[in-house]
Order: sequence, then C-alpha cells, then structure tokens
Amino acid sequence: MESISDSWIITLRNLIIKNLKENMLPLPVSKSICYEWALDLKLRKNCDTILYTSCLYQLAPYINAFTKYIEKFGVSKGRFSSLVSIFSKFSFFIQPNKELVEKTNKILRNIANELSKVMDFGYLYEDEPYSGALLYELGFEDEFKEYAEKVVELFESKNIKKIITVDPHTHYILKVIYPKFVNFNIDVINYLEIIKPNKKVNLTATIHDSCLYARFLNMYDLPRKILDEIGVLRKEHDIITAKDSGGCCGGPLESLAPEISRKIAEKRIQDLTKVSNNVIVLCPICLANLSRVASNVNIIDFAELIG
Amino acid sequence: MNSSLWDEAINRVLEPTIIKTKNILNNYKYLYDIAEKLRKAKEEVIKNFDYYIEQTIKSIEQIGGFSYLARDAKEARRIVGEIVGSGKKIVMSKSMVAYEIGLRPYLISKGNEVWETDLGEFLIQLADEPPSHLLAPALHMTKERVAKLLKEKIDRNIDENKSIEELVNIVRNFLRSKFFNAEIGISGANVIAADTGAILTIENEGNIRMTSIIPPVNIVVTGIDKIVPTLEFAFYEVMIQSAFGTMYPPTYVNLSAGPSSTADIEIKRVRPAQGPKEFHVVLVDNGRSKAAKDPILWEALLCIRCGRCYFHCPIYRNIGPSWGIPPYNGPTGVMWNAVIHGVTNENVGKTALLCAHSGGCKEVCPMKINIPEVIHYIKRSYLKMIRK
Repeated sequence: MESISDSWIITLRNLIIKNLKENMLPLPVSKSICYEWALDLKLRKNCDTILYTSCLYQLAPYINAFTKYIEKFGVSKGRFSSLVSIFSKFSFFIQPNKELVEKTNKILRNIANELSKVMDFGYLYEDEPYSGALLYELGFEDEFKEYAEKVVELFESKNIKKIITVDPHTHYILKVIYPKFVNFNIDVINYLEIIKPNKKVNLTATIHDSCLYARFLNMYDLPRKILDEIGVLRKEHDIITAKDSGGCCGGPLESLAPEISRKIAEKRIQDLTKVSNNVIVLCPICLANLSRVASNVNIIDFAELIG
Repeated sequence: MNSSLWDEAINRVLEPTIIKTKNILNNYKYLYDIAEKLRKAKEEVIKNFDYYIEQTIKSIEQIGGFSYLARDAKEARRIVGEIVGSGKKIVMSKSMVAYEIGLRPYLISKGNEVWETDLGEFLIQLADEPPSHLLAPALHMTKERVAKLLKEKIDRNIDENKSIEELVNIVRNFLRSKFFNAEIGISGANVIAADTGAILTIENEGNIRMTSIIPPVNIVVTGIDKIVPTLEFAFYEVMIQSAFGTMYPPTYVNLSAGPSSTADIEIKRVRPAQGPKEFHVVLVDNGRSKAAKDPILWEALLCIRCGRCYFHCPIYRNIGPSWGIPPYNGPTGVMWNAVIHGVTNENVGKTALLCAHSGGCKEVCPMKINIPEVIHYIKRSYLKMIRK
C-alpha cells in the first residue's frame, strides 16, 4: 500500500497556510487567474448576493499540473524537497493545460449567464477568497477554523447576505462545515438550486456524481432532474452510477497518494465508459482528476450543457 | 499482495455481491425497521457497558457456563490458554476477535494443533496471510490461487484446474476428521443476549455448528460490543447482519446457551448429552470500553460486521485488504483499528489519511454509522499529534 509521508503532509500544510496568508489562495498562482473569466462580464462588485467560485474551477488546471510533479517526485517515498522548490517557483514550473483553463472559464461564464436570467448577483473579482475547504478535508481543523474566520470577516466587511456556490466542495464547506466552526449567518445556495435552463441539448451521457452532492448534500436527484428537462438522454447503471456505489474520482488523494488517486480515477473511467463515452461531472476536482487519465472519453462539466 | 491479482479477485465478486444485497433488502422490507430498533438497543448497551457486561456474565453462569472478562488481548490469550492447556487438538470457527487477540498463533506456540474450519479462514491459515474481508477472508484469492495453495499444502496430487466445487469438497473431506478428533472447539459470536447469556452465530458452511457442538469443550471468544440487552434483539442482530452481509436467510442460525444436557432419565439434569460438557465465554474489552466514552469514536462500536461498506468504498476496491491492520480493514476497519490501537496510533492515522470521504460506506451501513465522520476524527487527531 502506498503510504503517506508525515513530513510531506506537514510540508504541504505549511505551503498551503503560507499561501493562504499571502493571497487567500491555497496555491501560489496569480490572483488574476481566478477572475479573468469574468473580466468582460462586468459583474457588480457591491451586491449583497454574490456568485462565489472560491477559485476552485480556476485552480483545477494548476492542481493537475502540480499533481504531475507530485507523481514524478514520489511524495510517498519521502523525496519531496524538489516539490518544495517547485512550489516556491510555481508560475515558472507549472504550465496549466490551456484547454482545461478555457474549459473552466467557460463553465463559470455559463453559470453566471444562466443565473443572470433569474436573479441579481455580484462577484468579488480580485477580493474573492478561497474557502479553506482543502485544510478541512486534509484534517487540519485548527488551521481551517483560523482561516475561515478571516473569510467570514471579509464577507461581512462587504455586507454579503447570500452566497451562490458553483461547486460541491465550496457548497459543503460553507453550508455544513462553516456553521460548526465559525459564527456564520450568510445564506448559502447552490447554482443548481436556482437555474432554470430552457434550452434543449442533444446528448446521450452518463453521470459521475460528486461524492459531496450525492451523498453529503442530498443532491443526487437534482442534477438528474435538470438533465432530463434539457433533454439529455441519461444512461444509468445499477452500480456504476448508483447513489450508494458510484464512488469517487480519486481527487481528494491527489496530493497525498497520487498513485492511488490515479488508480481510482483510471478504474472510475473504465467503469463509466461501460455506460457511455460522454461523462457528465459536477465538480472541478472530478473534472481535473478524471481528465488527467481519460482518453477517448468526453468529460463534460454539467455547466457546459446549460450555456 | 500483487495489485493486479487483487483487481481480478475484487472484479469477480463486486457486482454480484452489491446486487444480491440490494435484492435482499428490496425483498424483505421489514429489515429496515428491525435495523433501526437494533441500533437503539446497541446504543443502550454502549452507554451502559458496565451494567450489561455484569448482566451477561451472571446470565452465562446461570445457564451453567463459565464467563470471563479480559481487559486486553494478552489477558484474553492467557484466559483461553489456561482453559486449553497444551497438546490439544483444537478446531476454530472464524472469529475476528480471536484473530485480533492473536489466539491461533498463541495456542500453536503452546503446543496445540489448531485448525481453522471456515473455508476462507482455513485458506488464509494455509497461506499464512491476513484476511481480506470480515465475512470473506479469502476474498483476494481466485480459484486458481486456491487450487495452487491446496496443492502445495494439502495434497500434491491436486490438479490446479479443478472446479470450485471440487476444491470445496477437498477441504470438506480434509476437515471432517479434524472436527471429530478435536478436544476443544473455539467459536466466536455474532451477538450475545445479556438477559439470557445466549450466544448466536450465523453461517452458511455448518462449520460453526460443528465447532461448537462436536468437541467436548466449547470456548466462545468475543468482544463486549456484541452484547445486546435481550434475546429478542439478538435475533434482530443475526437477521440484519446476514441480510446486509449478503446471505438471507442464513443457512444456519446457531444458539448456544450453556453446556449440553439431558433430563430424560428421571428428570435429573445430567451434563453433557451429545454436545459439549463445558461452555466458556471470554468477553474481550481490548479498547472497547475506552472507545465507548469517546464522543465520536463510540459510534464504531455499533458496527455489526456485515462487511457491506467494503464493497461501496473506492479505496478498499482499489487498494484492497492492505488498507488496514489485520484483521480489520475497509472503512469499518479504519474505525475499528482506532478502537483497538488508539486514535493516535501511527498506522491507524495513516489508514485514515487515505479515506477520500466518498460517503458510500455511510449510505449502506445498516446501523447508519457516520463512518466518514469517525474517520475524519481519526485523521485530525493523528495530524494534531504529528504536528506537535
């Protein structure tokens, strides 16, 4: 079994925390990558309802590129000094896949366009912070709490009353976890609960559920209902796409045990393609982790279908 | 073990197992109500362990058995070792607790001849390997591997191309004489009823019945978490465990409450009749009562070991049995290793770090244990420790 190195996980924690302190993002990327998708949309910055990306879709291509190095230098074997150097010269080493960058930007534009048909909302652009979900998921709760307090402070300073999330990790962390750790009175809603797309899509596809939506947020049926409404021919399977046995993309392990993470992703793709070659995902981490192992498979984000 | 061998083995069993359990639960809908009642009964025991342990011990003595409470693995081995002595022929039915306390190697080291009689457990005994699943310890072995193993260890003339039916028959014949010559049978318990001291076990093979009936001495080794308040709940437990563990109805439900006896001559109670003359029950704590006081880990004690969560976990499916500390692996195994070895144990912490919180385990758990939450707690406790 691939074993996780204590020193690596502590190093990773330190790198993330240092970065969160510097620019409220978990990776040392330029803040502009988070909001370039919205530059020409000219969304209002001062609105008490905001679309909140937590920069997760935007970070996905960078996470993928970094994971390649994690695989190469073998954190599980304790040889990670090179990774620390890469982290410190991130923009020099990390070249994200351009197609994936375009794809994630388009996903966010589609969501914003669809939302704008039914409600008013703003966007924080360069002031938007990362949620801290990664710290919580890794298990660093004290650090998470400390950081979450800062995020809440920022939201409050901008008089935010309602947050619209666009991915399962951010939705879960704000909706379920924040209230357990910090004083958090902001209304949190997910874009899937709001949008009313009226287009028709000619597509036959299967679904790779987000673990958090399907099994922690009771949102297994909602995306299916919308897909049915827009005419997607859903291919389901008793085990592969069932709520209780569908399973994970392997993404949560990519920074800790990349070999296991890859194996899970490969097996998942193998299973999904038994059902359809078009696979709909609802999460940037799934999008990234499945994309890195997929060949001859179309990984389509749900939001690509609504624009 | 070799990862591609594991992939091959799990691929053969995964889909049929998941579907079979789903069909059982669809066909016998009353099971969900019973599961809910059982959870409440188990909660009651976990919150009042001392009371129910004492009641269980008294009940076993009232029915003519001997009962013992072992604080840890070492004490449990010593107790069983004293009952057994040395130079004995022993048969064992599969018991996770016996594996947990290292009973088989201990008894062998004391000069006893010990045979596991559950087919899967027998195979891992021959191969000297840890079990790969709670209910199917040799899940990782394909039939080809089993044939090769039996050829090496039992009979050189075994043809490696034998069918599964033939392989099972070879083991059946091999174990027959072991049962009839055994002086001691060591079995486990799926559940113990505190009000009556009755031990219930479920099985398909018939080896537990033979282990607990044929030898003149029956020793039951089990954990205090298996106690339920009454015999009514004990029957609920065996129904739920067998259904969620993919065998409903189980072929056999065995109830043992005391040594064998007869009063057929002049209504005088005489022991034994055809079954064992001695009935011993060793209740093992080994971290359980401590875990019961833990505000989060206590939930692990609700686990009835149906093993269903394994098949719904992407980590277990991909890594296999090495995800854990034998005999406990899979999602419930992460929790159970924390019960036994402590939440800050390095190996326990490292297995918890590999959880990807897919949540499949909690979806299918009959006791509705929030397994991802318990694993997250182990993870954060371990990280807190290594950060210091």
